[in-house]
This record gives sequence, C-alpha cells and structure tokens, in this order.
Amino acid sequence: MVLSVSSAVADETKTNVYFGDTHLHTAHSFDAFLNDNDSVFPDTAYRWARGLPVIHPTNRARVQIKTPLDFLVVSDHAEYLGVITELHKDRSQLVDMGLWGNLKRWVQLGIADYLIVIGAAEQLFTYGLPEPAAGSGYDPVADPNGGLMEVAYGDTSSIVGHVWDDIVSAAERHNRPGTFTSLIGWEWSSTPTGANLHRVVFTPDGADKASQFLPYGADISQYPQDLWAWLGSTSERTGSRFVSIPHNSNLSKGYMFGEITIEGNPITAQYAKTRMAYEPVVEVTQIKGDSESLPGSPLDDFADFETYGHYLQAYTTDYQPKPGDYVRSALKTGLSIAEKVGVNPYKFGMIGSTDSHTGLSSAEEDNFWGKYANDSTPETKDQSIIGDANNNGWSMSAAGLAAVWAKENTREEIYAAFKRKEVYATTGPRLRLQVFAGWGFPLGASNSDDIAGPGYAYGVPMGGDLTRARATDRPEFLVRAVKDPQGANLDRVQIIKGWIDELGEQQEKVYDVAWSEGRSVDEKGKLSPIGNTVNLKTARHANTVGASELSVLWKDPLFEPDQRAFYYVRVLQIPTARHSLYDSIALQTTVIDSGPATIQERAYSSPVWYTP
Amino acid sequence: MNSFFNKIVKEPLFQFLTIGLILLGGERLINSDDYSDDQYSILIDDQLLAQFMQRQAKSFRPEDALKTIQGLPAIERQSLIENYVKGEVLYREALALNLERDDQIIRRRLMQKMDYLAQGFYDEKPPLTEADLRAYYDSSREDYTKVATATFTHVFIASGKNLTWEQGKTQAMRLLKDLNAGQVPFENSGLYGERFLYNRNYVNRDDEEIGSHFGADFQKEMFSLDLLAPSNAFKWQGPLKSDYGWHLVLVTRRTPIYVPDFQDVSATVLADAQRQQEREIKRLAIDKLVSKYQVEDKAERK
Repeated sequence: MVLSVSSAVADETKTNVYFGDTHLHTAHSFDAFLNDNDSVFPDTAYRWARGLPVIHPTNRARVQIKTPLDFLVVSDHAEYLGVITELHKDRSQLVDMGLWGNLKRWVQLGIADYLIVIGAAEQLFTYGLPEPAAGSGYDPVADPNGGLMEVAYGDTSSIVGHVWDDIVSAAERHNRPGTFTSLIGWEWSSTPTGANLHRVVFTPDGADKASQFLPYGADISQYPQDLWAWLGSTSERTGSRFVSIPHNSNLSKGYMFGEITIEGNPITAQYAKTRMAYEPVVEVTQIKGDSESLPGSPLDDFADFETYGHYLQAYTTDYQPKPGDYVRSALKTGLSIAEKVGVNPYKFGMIGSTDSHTGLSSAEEDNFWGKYANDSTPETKDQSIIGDANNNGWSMSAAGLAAVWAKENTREEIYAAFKRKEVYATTGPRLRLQVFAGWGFPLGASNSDDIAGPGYAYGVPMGGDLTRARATDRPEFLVRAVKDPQGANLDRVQIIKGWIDELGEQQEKVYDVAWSEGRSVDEKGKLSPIGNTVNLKTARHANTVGASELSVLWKDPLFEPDQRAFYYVRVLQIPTARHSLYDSIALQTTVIDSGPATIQERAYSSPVWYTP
Repeated sequence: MNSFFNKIVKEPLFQFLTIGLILLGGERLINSDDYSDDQYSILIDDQLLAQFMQRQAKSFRPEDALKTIQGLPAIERQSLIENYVKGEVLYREALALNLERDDQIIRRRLMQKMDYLAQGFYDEKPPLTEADLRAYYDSSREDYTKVATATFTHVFIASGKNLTWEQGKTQAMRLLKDLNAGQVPFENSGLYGERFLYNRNYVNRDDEEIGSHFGADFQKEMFSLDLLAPSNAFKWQGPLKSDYGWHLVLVTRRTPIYVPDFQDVSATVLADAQRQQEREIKRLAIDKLVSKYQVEDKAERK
C-alpha cells in the first residue's frame, strides 16, 4: 500500500523523553510551613531540580538530587498562599477588622506563633483538617462538615499578591528553553469531608499573563466545575492556557472519578466536554500512594502497590477504596459513560509527581527527603503526621515522576505533549517507555534501532486514538522499555486492557507481553516471578536478573471490533530496596512495620483508546 | 525568680489566658442574671448517656446502647459521666460567654441545619405530570444536548516557517491527488506528511477539543465539510488551514450537535425534574422565612 509519492514529506524530527515533577510545594504552602519547612522557597526548589546542591530546610545538611530534572512546576496551595508564613514574620500588611476582629485575629496569630516557636506547629495543621461526613447526602461540599476552616485574618490579598509574584518571577528566572523548563502553577486543594479532589494547575505562559490573575483556591469554591469555569473565563480575559491535573484520587472517597458529578447529578456530554478541555492528564502515583488499580484486585498480581489508606482528615476512619478512587476503574467507567452520552469524561493520560512539601522534588529511594520536612530523616519518620495516627513517613513512598515525549524541552512542547497525552508515569526511576498502536507494523519493527520511525509512521503513540481499520483484524502494540541508565533491570512488560463487552459490562485483563530471559510460563499462563537480588543488610541489588531492555510487538488475541476498549502499558523493574529499608539499616533496627523492605518500581503509559 | 516571672509574662500563652480571664470576668459582671442555679445543674439519665456513648463510638449499634448503659459497672458509668460533664460544662460556659456569636463555623452549621429542616417539606410535594416534565425538558435542553463530534485522520504540511503558506498549499494539493489516487486508508496516514504538534487520529472528539488543537477556523471548516457516504470513505479532502499549516483530512464519521426527543430521555428528565422540584420547594421555604424580616441598608453614600 506504500506509494511512491514524490510529494510526501518525511518527518525526521526525533522526540526525546524529558523527566519532571508537576507537583511540588515550598514554604509558601501553609502545611509545608507548619511542618517545618520555613526556608525552601521556589528559588531553592528550582536550584535543587536543576541539580545544584542546596540546604535542607530542617537538618541544614547540603543535599543534592542525583539526576537533575528536565522540568518543574512549583505548585503551592492557593488557599492562604504564603499567608501563614508571611504573618509569622511580618504583620504590617494586615488590614483593620474592627476592635473585636483585630483582637480575635491577634489571639489566633499568637497561638500560631506560640505553637511554631515551641515546634508543635503541625498541631495547627491537624486542627485545620476536615472532619468526615456527618450528613447523609451525596454532595460532600453540602455536608455539615463540608465547609472550610475559617481563618479570620481579614483581606490578605496583598500578601497573596506578592507571594504569587515571587513564584512567577522564580519560574521566569529559572526557565532555560532547551535545557530546563519551569512552569508557573499552583494547587487547588478542595477536600470536603476529607474527600480529596485536589488539582494542580499549570500554564505554559509567562509572567506577562500570570501576573494578571491570582491563583484560584478551594476557599473560593470547592467544586471542580467552578474551577473549570474560572479557568475558562481567565483564559478569555488574559489569553492564558491551563492544564488541570487531578491527583490522589486514591483518597477521594469515590468522588474523583464518580459515575455522577460531585453534586450528585448525571454526567452530561457538556460536563464531559468541559472536563476534558482542562484535564487531559491525571497524576497516578506520588508520595501519598499509588492510584493505578484497586488494591486486592483478584485479576492482577501486581495490584496493591504502595497503597496509602489514610484520608486527609482530622481523625482516623477506615480506608474504603472505591472504583472512583483508582485510575483503571475510572478508565472503564469512562468507556461506559461515553457509550451513554457520547463523550468520555475520563479519557486521560497518566503522569507521576512527588507532591513533596520540602521544596525538594525527591523520588529516589536512596535519596528521599520525605513528604514534609519533619518526616524527612530516618529518626523523624515515625512521627504521626497528617491527622491519622496510623500514618507516618514510612507509610509513604519515594515516588512520582512525569515523563514527557517532546521534540524539545520548552514550555510550548511540554504543554502540547500534555494536551496530546504523549506522557507517562514512573514511580521514581527514569524508565524509558515507548508505546505505539496500529494495525500493521512492518516486520521486525520491534527490533529496529529506533522504534519511533515505524511507530509514528504506522501507528499512533501513547495517548492516541484508534478506530475501525479497513483491512486488518486486530490492533498491534509496539512497545519498547529501557531501564534507568543508573538503575535496576526490568522484570516484565504488561499490557492492561479494559473494555465494554457485548452485554455492556466493564471488563479488564492484564497480559504479560515481554519478560527477561530464562523464565517459564505455567499451564495457566502465569509467568514465574523474577528473583529478588536485594541484600537486606546493605540494601544493594544486583542486575544479575532481569533485562536491560524489552521490546515487543503484541497483537490483542481477543479483539472485538464492535467494543470500546483502552490499552495501557505497565513496566515492572526487578525488586529494589524501599526507602524504609535504607532507614532501618541506618538506624540499625531490624523492623520497620510500614511497607515492605523491597518493591518493584514501575512505569504506566498513557492509554490508547479504540472506538468502533 | 524575677526573670522567671518576666519570662512567663512574655509567654504568649500566659497573655491569652490572662485576656481570657478578664473577658470571662467582665462578661459575668455584665450578665450576672444569666448565671442562675439552673445553669449549674446537669441532669443525667440512661438515654442521654447512651446517646453520648454512641456519638463517641460511631460503630456502636443503637439498639444495644441502652442495654450496655444499664449494665455498666458503676466505675465505668462514673467515668462516662465525667467525660460527658466536661464537654457539657465547656459547651455551657462557651454559650454563657457568647462565644458562638460571630463564629463562622457555628453560623454555617446552624444554617445547614435549617437547610435540612427545609427538606422535610419534600414529603408533601405534588407528583409531576407529563406536562411538567415536558416543560422542564424544554427549559433545560442544554443538559440533554449531544455535542458535535468528528472522527478523522490527517496529513500535515507545516507552513509559515520553512515553507511559505503558498508553497505549503501547493504541496498539499499535489499530495491530495496522490492520496486519493492511491486510496490511502485511514490507518496509513502516518506514512505521509509531517508529525503534527497534537494527535494523528481524532476519534469521536468533540468540536471544542478539535478547535483547541487546530484553531477556530479549522474547527468551523471541519464541521462544514461534505459528509461522505461510507462507500466513499476514502475520499481525502482539503487542504484545511490550521494555526500551524495545511491538513489533508479523511473524515469517516461526524455527529451533529442535536437534542434528543423527549421520549428518548424521559427517564433522565424525570429524575432531573424531581431534583429540581426539591430545590424549588426548599427555595420557597427559605424565601418565606426571609420575607418575615425587614432589611435596612445603612450605606453611607458619598
């Protein structure tokens, strides 16, 4: 079918993979500050990301990332942005609230100062966390406990304004087109009744546009629809472009990817369209756990990875994972809704990011600086943090990188990659993952030096669409995974398929499609597990098992051309030490009861969708 | 000793406690009538203790609570009472100090309680007739509207940089002939042209998403192209101009924006209309309360 078309243009531009973090807090975030980060502001955060040595916010040691990042979004909480931090230093910007108001504020600030000075500021943070639902209604925002804690500081917009200036100007200062990309952003932190609906918002545009607005926080509205409406009107007013990234769906109590809206209304085509206009990508893995697949799925031996079952609330309640909390079930729900209303509200790509509050984006197990500054050292990780008494620094994971395929490392190209979903998630290692889907890749495509050549010519990359083809019968997937150059070998490559069957039921299946040599598949089709080479006394692993690279051309054996489906790739590394094992060796204690000693780090590609 | 005292006086905590005591004392002097004996007696019974225990341990089964209370050893009952009394005393003292005034959390909590009361009126709501449902459907058509979508693949010739817009168009026209002569199918579009900034294939994508990738003019043109019968599905069309260059498109499916008939969505309309009715009943109930009040605006205009 290939013609000798003289006028065809060959596209020789290569895409490269860039690794970054779109979710990082500095001392401008109230909770980062209250948990002992009072010195790492955006400037230091960018210096760390670019590979420079910096001073740690609490232990004052010199620390440094092993492999620099290619891009970073500093995404501080928009709610009371910088206010708590600034007021601890300087009260001159407070506005008059009348005698009684001023007195109350003085008492509040005094208590805050007192707790900060005696080193118990995290109590303030816990005090401010929401309580679980008290009413029986569906809408968590309308629940009696759905409100936000009231902070009676009066109008603080002038403080927020100059803090926002600091964030914007740090991003402008560190942006190096071609080498390092800094993106301006913030976090909208809606958590009604402890149901986490958080979104990170970033813009590819610069200070000229970002200086025309202040970031939109959950203190203005806790409904995502209101956030999207504001993004729309602000786009129109200033010309800014935005990407909004939902995260920690694992803690959303089923609300992040529900079958109905937060208010309890049905999802309409218009709702789906608006959601997709702003939310092309979801953050699927980070320090507060992994949200890929429901823990305990009987169909998946590798589910229940870094499950973090601790809600963001003032006291502990049982963790009850729901389909609306996890990405794989959400992708399936999306297919069902698309069948009903015509538009899929959950047609998203996947990335990872850290959500670190130390200002130091660290996802390396052997160089992990914690969620908060106060749980970033081995001797302080067993503190109970974030409200829940069963939760500590070892319940968390050194995780989250966003990988982006783009022609160059610039704001424009990274934004475009997010829009077309040519992005993927890793739990920390710099795994290189290419995925293409099509109907007839040339023979030997999986062995070619550069699979991107046949990949782009005969298929679509991750994040793309397939529809009914004319000639061929079943879709093919061209996949290449390469280990982190400084990291561990690979165990296997899997393709995860979700679809709607002929009865309209949601289905899923996990296929092992490529694995390291010398392993057997039993009569039930189960691949033997990879060996564990980690020495528990030294935390070192050996790359004596596993493969450094896995390439495969896979064809779906059970394809039905009339059924909607999605496919994404999961790559597993061989077992390596978790940060808790490094800590237990350093502390010379044998037992750390939160989390396993070794884990299989992984990557998740964005899906490819098939629509009949 | 003196320096210790100075230190204490400078402690913010000490300052707040002092202020608290002054506020408390002052309040008592002014409102001394409110502190009758009744204020200082707390009556305990089994029912109350059972409720208190249940609130503390939410998993407790209500039917068992009273039995448990009645069978409780005296010492445990005493400690339960002490816990209850502590809370009750703090609550009463806070009310006596009028601490609930100007407290936004308490204000909102009470507002929400009124909100729940208003829901009680739902039971008396009249059943919705078909005429009601049709009226609701007419007034909220936007909720039922199916959005416009298109399914297409495209071959892209970047223009405005290496090629001028004119040169790009000429090249695209030439390529168009070849694509149609060769009957190049949907899945082979990647063999031609350059890689586009966004996607190669667009399957069932809505009009606005297409617009956000290609620009408004392209979006308009895409949705005004002739729709081809499936047998002609290999007709490449174009070139269409985007913000980035020229595109030859193979459109295999397009759905228009349309509103389904009432019959096709009547079940959804019923559910939506009932919700709307409940909201309306609540609104009327609140309006009725508001109408009892006179609002005076003492704005000082210049």
